[in-house]
Amino acid sequence: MQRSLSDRNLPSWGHVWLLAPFFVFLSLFWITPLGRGLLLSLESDTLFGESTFVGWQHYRDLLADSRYWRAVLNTAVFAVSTITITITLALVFAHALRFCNRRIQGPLVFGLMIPGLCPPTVLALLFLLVFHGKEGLLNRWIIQPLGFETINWLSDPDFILSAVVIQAVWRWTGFMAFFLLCALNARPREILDAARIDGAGVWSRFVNVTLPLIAPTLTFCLIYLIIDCFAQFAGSYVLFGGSGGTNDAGLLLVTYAYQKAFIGGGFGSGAAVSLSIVPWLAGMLILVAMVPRNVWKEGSTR
Amino acid sequence: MNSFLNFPSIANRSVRFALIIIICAIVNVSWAEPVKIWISSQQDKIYYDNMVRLYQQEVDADFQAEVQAFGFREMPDKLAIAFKTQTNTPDIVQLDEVFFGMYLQGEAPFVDLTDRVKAVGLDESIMPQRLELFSLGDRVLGLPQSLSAVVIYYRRDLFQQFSLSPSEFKTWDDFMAIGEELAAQNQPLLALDPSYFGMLLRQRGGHLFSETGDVLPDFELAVETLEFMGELAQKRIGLMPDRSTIFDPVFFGGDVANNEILAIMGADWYGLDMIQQFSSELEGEWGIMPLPVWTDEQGNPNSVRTSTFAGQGLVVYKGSDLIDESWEFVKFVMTNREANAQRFLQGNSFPAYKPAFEDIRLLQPQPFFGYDSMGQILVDLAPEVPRVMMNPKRPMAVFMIREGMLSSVMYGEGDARTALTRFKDQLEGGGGPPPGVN
Repeated sequence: MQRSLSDRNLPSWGHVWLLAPFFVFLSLFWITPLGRGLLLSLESDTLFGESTFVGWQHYRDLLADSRYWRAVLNTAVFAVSTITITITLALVFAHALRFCNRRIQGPLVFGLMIPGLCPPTVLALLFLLVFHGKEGLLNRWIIQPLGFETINWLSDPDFILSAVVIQAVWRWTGFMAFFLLCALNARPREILDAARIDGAGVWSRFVNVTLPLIAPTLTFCLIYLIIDCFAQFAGSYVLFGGSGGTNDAGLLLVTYAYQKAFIGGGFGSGAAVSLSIVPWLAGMLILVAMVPRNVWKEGSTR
Repeated sequence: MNSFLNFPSIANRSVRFALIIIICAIVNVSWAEPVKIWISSQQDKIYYDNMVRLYQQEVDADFQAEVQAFGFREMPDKLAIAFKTQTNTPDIVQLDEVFFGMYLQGEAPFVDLTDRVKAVGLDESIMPQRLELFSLGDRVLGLPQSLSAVVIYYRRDLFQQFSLSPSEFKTWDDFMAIGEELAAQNQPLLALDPSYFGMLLRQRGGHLFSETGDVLPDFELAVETLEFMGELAQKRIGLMPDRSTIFDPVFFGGDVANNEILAIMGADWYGLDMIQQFSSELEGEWGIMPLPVWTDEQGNPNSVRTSTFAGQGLVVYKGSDLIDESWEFVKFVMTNREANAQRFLQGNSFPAYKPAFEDIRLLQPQPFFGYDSMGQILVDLAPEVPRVMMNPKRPMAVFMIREGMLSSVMYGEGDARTALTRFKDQLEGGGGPPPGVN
């Protein structure tokens, strides 16, 4: 029996039951802790014994806290730099990989993905050696041969944030290149051929054809990286021992939440810092989700 | 199947099951619950396992304890969560004084040991400045295990190479003058760690917190001290290690192995534990000397010859069901002659318990330090160890100092007054209630 159009739009109970376990676990392990975190952020910083309700006090304190704003700025700079460099390099690598012999393409892609498969703590430990003061790989193999003075990457406030960015770029570039390679390979050949026949140059084809075609994958990459940048903790914890480095030059929002809760003994204010990340993160995600859509649409109709 | 559902059979099974439960309950009651001890290093776990055995031999053969070792930084995190959730809490905790203050926001989770300490005379026999460190107001909340007197560990071989003698370093002015001569030869004298700020400030009689909870009550002295450290760095007398810390053995061990510095400032536990671990190949090449003194404008000494930094203590959890058993064990570890001697001999720390100072084993010359007697030097310096004012914000203050808040001055990227004003403002701006609000 053929179902009417309105029937087809209604979810069947079978589908709902299939999704139920997911939503049960989501409620248990995500919504409940989130709600508990919100309540915690409204309580006094008492570690033992009864807490008192302080309302939005911790959030008001954050607005007047210069270290918090430093962490917001650092996180924003870290996120924008990491995402820009990672996506640019990933696009270059993905294009380069397309021209590789198919037999070596697989091993190369796997090699590029290894840093992304590494646990962040292991990667950060490795980077302790890369950033080591005088003997580190970065100083010995790049900075010194170029004739510059060695850089104390983990202590010099001018370079601390760069160290965190380098580590994140190293981790994710290969992974993103793999996603973008898949997207590039999935482009319909006839559209590219048509553009070429119409006389579009390399740059024009990239901007007006390729970018709109890989836009969904790019959006996924951007969202993935934004979330990772805002949630960045393990890497910077290993590099700076839970601090923001000299002069708080590498202090990120999650690190600051950790400091508030576990060094300052203030679980309430720590929870407030953690939850304050939500609007920043949501803002970035909305920007990515909304702005590019217009750009892609515009590009695809040119 | 039918016989399984048979009622008499079910009743029979139920009776047997109930009997098993009752037997289990009786066994559980008669079986002594182990005292849970949380320790913040593997080396200390070995010590405490031995102490549990010693306690069983000498005091209570039925005593049971479960010693759990965590990482130095990991344990305070786990403890904070255990206290907050009141789940899986320990009975006894070995806690560094640097983290102790963190748990004093609101009601203190530790047993008030004041009466017990007085009853056994520990208030007289433990160095008062160390006992004060684990106290809040008049209440003793923990017992210090370490004297934590700060000395200078110097390289004998490199001192000889540069024709230097420890006796030349009487004042910090002498230190600066000799350091400048060495810097001219491109040789830094001292490893420079941000935590030296607190050490040097205390040596001069200054404090991070006043008794009433004010941050940097001796502000001008603090500025002068940080300026002195900045000068050491700028004149390249002091070397900022990689990662800016002497507490990272992987990085700092390389600096020491490459002869990049001639001396390190550190507490007793630093020499007993860390130096011997990251530079074991330099056995016999190290020596120990007291800190140079500070002088007034006329050049007269106006400071003690030592300072203090960090050090472990023992606390008992207030919610424990085994408070008495825990206290008896803590008392044993604090007062037993062998327990104190082993703590030093196994490379943990030098005790703060005064009667232990007479134990000849603690005063023996040590081959690692070129046959200097670390024990004798520490006993001589013990009365001069400065006080430390405990405060719930102290962990954050130490963390901010150690992890780079003031390092910018050493890098020449800011002046001491601005850095300390920022430090003071940020500590005054957050970090919980003032001390004593419980």
